[in-house]
Formats: sequence, C-alpha cells, structure tokens
Amino acid sequence: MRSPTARQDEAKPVRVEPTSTGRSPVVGIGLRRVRDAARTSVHPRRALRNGGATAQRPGFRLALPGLGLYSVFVAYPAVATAYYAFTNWNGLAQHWHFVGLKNFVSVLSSGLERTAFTNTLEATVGIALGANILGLAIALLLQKRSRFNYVLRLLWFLPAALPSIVAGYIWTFIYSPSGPLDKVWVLLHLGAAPGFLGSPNEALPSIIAIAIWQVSGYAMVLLLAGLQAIDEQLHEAARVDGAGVLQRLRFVTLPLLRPAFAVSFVFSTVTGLLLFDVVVATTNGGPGYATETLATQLYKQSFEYNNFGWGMAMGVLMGILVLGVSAAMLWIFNRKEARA
Amino acid sequence: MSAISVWAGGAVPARGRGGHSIQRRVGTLVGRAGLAIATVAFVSPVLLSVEMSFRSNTAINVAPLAWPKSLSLSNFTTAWSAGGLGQALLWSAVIAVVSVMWLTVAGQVLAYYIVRRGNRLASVALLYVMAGLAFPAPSRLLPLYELMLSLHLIGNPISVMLFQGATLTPLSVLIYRSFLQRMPIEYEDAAYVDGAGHLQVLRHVVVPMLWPSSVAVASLKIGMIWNDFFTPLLLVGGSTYATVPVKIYTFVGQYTAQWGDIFAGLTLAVIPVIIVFILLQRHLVEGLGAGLKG
Amino acid sequence: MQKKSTKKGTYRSGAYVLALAASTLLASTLGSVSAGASTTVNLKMTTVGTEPGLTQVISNYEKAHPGVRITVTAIPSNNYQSTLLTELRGGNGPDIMFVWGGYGNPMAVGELASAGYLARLNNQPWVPTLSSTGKSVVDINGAVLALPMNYEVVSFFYNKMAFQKAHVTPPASFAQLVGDCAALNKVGITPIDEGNEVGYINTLIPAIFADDYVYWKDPTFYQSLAAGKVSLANSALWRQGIKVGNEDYAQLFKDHCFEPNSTATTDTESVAAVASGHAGMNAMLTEFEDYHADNPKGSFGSFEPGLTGSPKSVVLTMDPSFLLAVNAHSHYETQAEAFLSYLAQPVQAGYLSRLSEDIPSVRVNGFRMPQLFQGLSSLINKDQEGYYFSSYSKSPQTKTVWIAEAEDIATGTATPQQATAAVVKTLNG
Repeated sequence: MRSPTARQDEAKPVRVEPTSTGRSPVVGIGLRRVRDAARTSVHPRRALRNGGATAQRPGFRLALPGLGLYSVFVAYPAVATAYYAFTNWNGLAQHWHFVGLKNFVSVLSSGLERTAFTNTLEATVGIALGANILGLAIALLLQKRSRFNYVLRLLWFLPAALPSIVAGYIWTFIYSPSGPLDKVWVLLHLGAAPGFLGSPNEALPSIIAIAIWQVSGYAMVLLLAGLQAIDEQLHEAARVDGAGVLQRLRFVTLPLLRPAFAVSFVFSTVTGLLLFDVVVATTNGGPGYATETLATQLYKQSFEYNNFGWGMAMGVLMGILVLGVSAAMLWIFNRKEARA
Repeated sequence: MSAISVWAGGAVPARGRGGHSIQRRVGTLVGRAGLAIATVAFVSPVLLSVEMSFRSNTAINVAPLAWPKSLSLSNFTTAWSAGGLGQALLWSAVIAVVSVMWLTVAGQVLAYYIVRRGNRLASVALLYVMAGLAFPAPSRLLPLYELMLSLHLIGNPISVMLFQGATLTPLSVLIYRSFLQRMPIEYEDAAYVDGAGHLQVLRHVVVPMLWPSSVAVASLKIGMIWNDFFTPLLLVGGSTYATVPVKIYTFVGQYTAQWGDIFAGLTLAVIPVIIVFILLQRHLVEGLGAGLKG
Repeated sequence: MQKKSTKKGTYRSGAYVLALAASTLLASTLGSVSAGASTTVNLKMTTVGTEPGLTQVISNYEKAHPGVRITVTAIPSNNYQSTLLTELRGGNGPDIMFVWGGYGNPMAVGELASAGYLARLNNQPWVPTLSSTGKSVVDINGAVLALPMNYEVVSFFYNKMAFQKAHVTPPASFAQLVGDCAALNKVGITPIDEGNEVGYINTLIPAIFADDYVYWKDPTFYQSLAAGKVSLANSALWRQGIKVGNEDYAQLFKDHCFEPNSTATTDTESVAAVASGHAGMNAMLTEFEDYHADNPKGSFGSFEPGLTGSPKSVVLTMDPSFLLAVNAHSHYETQAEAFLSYLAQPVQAGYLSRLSEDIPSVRVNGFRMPQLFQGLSSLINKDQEGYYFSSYSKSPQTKTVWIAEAEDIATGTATPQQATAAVVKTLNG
C-alpha cells in the first residue's frame, strides 16, 4: 500500500528488494497474532537468523572512531582516577602513599553513606517511575501531527532545557513558606502546607519532583521517537479486530515501545543514581543530612573535605553500582523481548 | 497516503469512523483546553524565569514572585555586554553543532557495529561503552584536565567538543542500539547482496531508517551540551571561547547573585535551543516516511 | 521525485562532513592564534562571582601600567573549589586567586600552604597596616599568605519600628533576647526571621554565642589563636563554646523565637520580613542595602547581644570576605604582588569595601562606617573582634558538619548534645 522505503528502493547503486517477512499483511488476523507478527517482524535475532546466510557482518574498524574518542576522553580518565582510590592523597599534598582497600572499607562502613545510599535509591525509583509515566502520558497525548501538539511538545520539553542551577533557584521560591504552593494549599483548604525543602521528611520528595519535572521531557522525546517507529498497520489490524483504545495500548503500543522504554529507563535511572545538580542548587544535602546523595557525598569528600582518595573510592563504587543496574535493566528489557 | 502514517499510535481516536461530529469536536476542544492548562501549569516555573529577566536584581531579591511593577531591558544589555554573551553564543553553537554531528555519526556507526555484528566482542564493546554512563563527572575531572593540558587544549573550544563527543557517546549508542534492534535486517541484506559496502548500506539504508532516533539523539544532546557547565568551566573558563553557561554563572557570587542578569542571559540563551527543537520535531514527522514502516 | 530526495541526501551528508571539518578547523586556528601573541604580561586572576568595582580598579591599573593585562575569571561559589583545585593540581593555576582565611575551607590559605601553592607575602608594604585579627587569618606559621581586603560583620539586624511596637530595646544579653522574643510574639511579630535555608546562615547564631562565650572566658583567646599558641582542636574552651552556642540556638527554638519552617526560608525572604516589620530581627552578614531597598522608609539598626549582659562578654564576629593570594608557581609573581599592593592602598581598598558593603581589613583613614553598623562601631574601634569559626577551624569539614547539625537542631532532628559531639569530632580530624 504505502512504500515509505521507496527512497532506498530507487537509490543507486543500492537496490533493495524488501522480503515479505518485513511486512506481513496483518489486517484481520486477531490480536494475539498481531502481537506475534509485530515481534517477529522486527526481532533482531530472528531477523539475523533469517538473513544470516547472505548478510555480511560489519567489521570492528567501523567501531573504531566512536570507541577511540570515548576511550581517550572517558575511559582513560575514569581508570586513571581509580588509582587515587587506593591512596590516602588529600588532593593537595605533593606526596601520598597506598592504603590498599582502606578507603573502600571506610566508604562502605560509614553511617552517613548508608543514608546517602537509601536517599539515592529512593530518588532513583521515584525519578525513573515518575518521569517515564509522565513522559509516556504526554508522548501519547501529543503524538498526533498538529501545530497545537508541536507547541505543546516544545513546552513539555522546556524544563529539560533549563539548567539545574536555575531550576533549583526557581523551585526554592516555589516551595518557600510564602510561595505559590503554600497559597495553593490554603486555597484548596488542605490544611497546613508541608515544609517542602525545609522539612527533613519532605525535602527529598520535593527534590525528586523537581528532577521528574526535568527528566520527563527527555522521556517524552525518547518515547515520541519510539511511537514513530511503530507500524501503523498493527493498530489498524487491532482496531479492525475490535480492540479498544486501552487494549491497543496494552497489547500493541506498550510492547512495541519497549526499546524506547529501555533507553528512557536507563537514562532516568542513571540520572537518579548520579543525582547531584538539583540537590546542590536547592538544599545542598540538608536540612541536616536529609537529602545527601552518593554524588553529593563524593563531591564534598573530594573537593570540600580534601579527602580525594576517599572520594575516588566512592566514585569507583558508584561506577560499579550504576553499571550493574543499567546493564541489568538492558538485560531485562532484552530478555522480555526475546521471550515474547 | 502520508496522512495515514501520521495517525500512528494507540491512543489516537479511530480515524475515519464516525466522521467529524460536533460532539467529537467539542470533546477534542475540551481535551485540548485541559491539556493546554496542564501544560501552562507545568511550564510556569520557566515562564517565571523569563519574567524575572525583565526585573531589576533588587526587585527580585525583595519579592521573587511578585508581579513586575515595570519591565526593563537593562538586564539584557548587562548580560549581553558584561557577560560577553554574543561571542559565547557563537562558541556554544559551534561546540553544540560539532558535538552533535559527531554523536549522530559515530554513535550510529558504533551502534550498527554492536547490533549487527552481534558477537561476543560486540557485547564487550557495548558493556565497555555503557560503563561511560557510570562514572560521575567530578571523579573524572583531574585526569581529564591533565590530559587536555598535555594536549595544549585548555582554553581551546576543541577540548569541549572532544569532551562532549566522548561523554555523550554511551547514551547515543544506547538510543541507536535500541531502535536498530527493531529494524528488519532484510533491507540491509538485500543491499549487501547487490554488492554495497558497509558505508553505502549505512548511508542509504540505516541512516534513513534510524532518522527518528537521530532526531531524538539530537534533541536530547543539544540541550545537554548547551547547558553543561561543570567541565566546560574548567576547559574554557576565562578564555575567549567560554560557552554561554560559563559566562552566565559568573553572576553567582559567594553570598549574592545577580539573578536578573542570570535570567536575562538564560532567556537569550534558550532561544537557539527552542529553534533547534522546533526544527527537529518537524523532521521527526518528515522522517516517518523514510522510517522502517513496512 | 525519488531521485531528487536521494540527491538531497547526498548533499546533506556532504554538507554535514564539510561543516564538521570546517568548524573544527576554524576552532583550532582561532584557538592557537590567541595562545601566545602578546608581549605584555598577562596576569590571570580568579574570583568567586563578580566582585563589585574590581573591573574599574583593574582598568585604572592597566592604564597606569601599560605592560600589564589582568584577566579576571569569575567562578560561581559552588564550583570554585573543584575548578581551582583541579587547576592547581594540574600545575596550571591562576597568578592571583581568591582564597579563604585560616583552614576551614579546601581553598583556605592554611590548606593551600601545606602543599606549597602560595607565595609568601611577608615583605609587602600593606602587611603592617593589617589589624591583628585581620592578620591572624592569613598568617600561617609566620608566613603571610594572602591580602585580606575586607570582612563582613556577623550580627543581629533589627527593625526599629517593630521593636518600638513591642516596647523592646536591643537585647544586651541572651536572657534579654529570649524576653524580647516573648514581647514581639505578643504583638504578632515574628521575633527572629532567620534565612535558615541558606547553609552558613544556620550557623550564624550558634557561632555568635560560641564566640561570645569564648571571649567572655578568655579575652586574649583570639590573639592566642592568631599567634598559634592554641588551636581549636585541643582547646577545651572552644569545645565548651560550641556547646553553649548550640544550646542557646536550641533554646531559641524552644522559646518560639523563629518563624515556622525556618529551614525553608531563604536569606532574601528573611531580610524582606524584617524590612517590612513582619519580623523583628535576624542574624545576617552585612546586607544592609537590602533592608533599605526592601523598605526605603524603614529604620534599621544592628546589635550584638552578648551572653551575660556584661560588655566584656561581647565580641564582634567577623567573616573575611575577599582575600587574594599569589600562586607560588606563577611566572609573574612580582607583577602579581605589585597589583595586590595597589589594591591594598586606601583609595582602592576603601572603594571596593564601600561597593561590596564591607569593612576594609587594611587601614583606611576616614572610612565611613555604613549607618547600619553604627551600633557596632565601638566594638570595631576597641578591636573587640573575633572571626567566624570556619576561619580558625583546622578541618574543612567543621563548617559543613556544623551547618548540617545546626539544621538538625532547627528541625528538631538532633539535640544540642548530639550536634556538639558531631562538630567536635571534626575538630579532632
């Protein structure tokens, strides 16, 4: 019917003849079959197996430019800095010596670090769930092509384009005891307004809300891109089969959004695990230690307490944590897909 | 034909069924109004910062949330001249454009290798790149600085391009990888059969198919690069190539900050980001036609 | 039509690569041209934020010294430590840099001196003009390592109308302060509106009373500290001072002296509350312009309550706010020192202090005290002054830990005893 790939079809010297597996005529085959068709048509391993006989595989030299720059300016500094984690360098002195794993033991046994760890986990879960749910809702509402939706997309993305230091400054006033949220509370007769950033119990949720406000724009952009990659015919087929809006969301849209979700979840999770800017711009870890995170601790130890070695040990442990969590997430998303 | 494709997605009301009844129109209108109100509430903090850029520093300190008594443009002139924003905008733009180009080109090629090679080495490469997400910027600061120093790149905008290009590689590889995994391989195979090389396949098959994800990568990265402050301050702070945030935040002091000037600078600085975002979103829809729709 | 789009694609990617190459090339040529063209001495200077009036003073200096150019990089406070420390560690620090006094900050003279980053300034002409306390924060084991340009006063500011309405006078002792709180509460005025959201402001009240206590018990304590005869870490008196400061702070909360949710109140909001008369007083660094800006018709004053009512228990707590040091590894050490000497001259020092609403540390004859401080001028003239604890603390942790603990006192999360124990622990390293 449509031939969106026509551009490749005609391109010279490459001539492409799409095989039939790529676009099965899915109209009128039942909801479950629609789902299966969707997965079959795009699942990479299956696809690899199908075309494997004739395909050439790209060589490692294609990976070199990207890997090269990354190795020099990201991997090398990360490894080089890990060296200090095994020293007692204070960050200033000309001399230091090796202390083995002492810094790591000290990080893991510190009570404050445990507080920072639980705070970070709470923030991570809150941000990942909040930003993705909000981002999905907005992406679904704004996916239609219209001028109105373009403007709204831009507006929902704007908070993400705002630097954290500025977001923190504005939100400090929005949360302040005489600020607009307080007035809303009075207006709606909700009783005494919460202390927000000033209260040990509410400061962390208040910061999480700011982070969700910023990260949901990123989630929206990723999920919008994901929605564009969903085959319209699958919806058409499901609709012909009498599936309602919610059913189509549940059985067609969400499963097919999984790749976009994988990225969006990893991104928001990493943002949560490394949460730093917003905290510094609002509470700087306070009141008391209520909003200390792993990243604020790393920064304070390395650059404010002159415990550089200690801070770097913290950095190594955080690196392992973040890598572990994000790799696990990707694995889970991949596995679900493979199994389906 | 193209009208059909843009109605893609689950939550969209059934097209072509029921026509355009008045009821439906009213429903759409109410829905739109609700959505618009929610959106305004959501972005109100941003509007607040724009509003603050028209007020004097003293007025902001006295009552940050009050309505402005008089609008003044003096913050904009201060931010422009004292902050040297004109030049900063130029360098921020050059840095953002070059970095995003690198991220889309190199990120795509690297993801293509990882997904289509699919062997153990490719998995190792993926894990290795993912590790770049894991280490917080402050912990990498010192070796990075020493490295740039030995390359004589401190105070040179190339250092920021290299840094951004490298640092944001993991996220763009991740985005491309996820979308590439869902792409049918048949088109590529057919091209190989016809004797095309990897680069030709990339250019004629993969790049067009991945266009929506390229838009996502560019939209996300432009903002991140534009606002990044922590490392650019160290790399080009004090030089004539300082980026916009590096210039704007010089108005933050030990005990006081000239927020009027900061917000004015910010308002000027966010305009290019908005323009780029609008252009990219248009391409997101145009790109649909070239996407993987089968 | 299909062909056209393919062609467009070719052009597009071609332009892409070209633009990439061109802009990189452009950047590299421009980058290298600026590197080493000038024959004049180029002094690099970094400050925290933009220092009012500094640009003007520098341009005057450059006019008088054609061979010298001074480039100032202003860095926001949150990023100052990490940026400067990384530059210094990389051996690429600025020639002149903003530092803090004593030890209580990673960029404090004491910390930097131990690593040999700072040049000795003992022979500079301005050294003899420093007050004894002024000198004490930059003198590390006999080496003068920075020029303290000016300091800010930590004291209480009050709204005279609000005090009149409640029929109270500036308190002369802690007990009177508590009494004033009750009287102000009775007429519906918040007694103390403190911007406790801002980290260091949390510690101002405990620090004021800690200083008062120490001075009351030993009026020569600060001279001894300055001379290196005692240190905070091994002074039982200072530990007791922290305890008294924390207990008094907690007592004020118990007696309903503060606005509700004070840990969410910013300094600007709290100044506005006092200026408008909704609140009676607050403890701040010098921001007297703000009170008048908020309420031009208002009348404001300052006071130091003291602990016991005896004038001998009152010491003025000060915070050195603009100190400059010279990089020991600078190629232009002499030129950098010459510029500091220029800044230390009365004309420049007075000008900069007036603009930043501070009090000069170097002698400036005829310097007119800002009106708001006139209640404190007798203390300043009698040299009855000591510094904010962070200038004397040997550990950079003391300040941040005390901030967090004071917040815990304010929210009722920690007792004064717990807070004191946590702060004292940092003194011992």
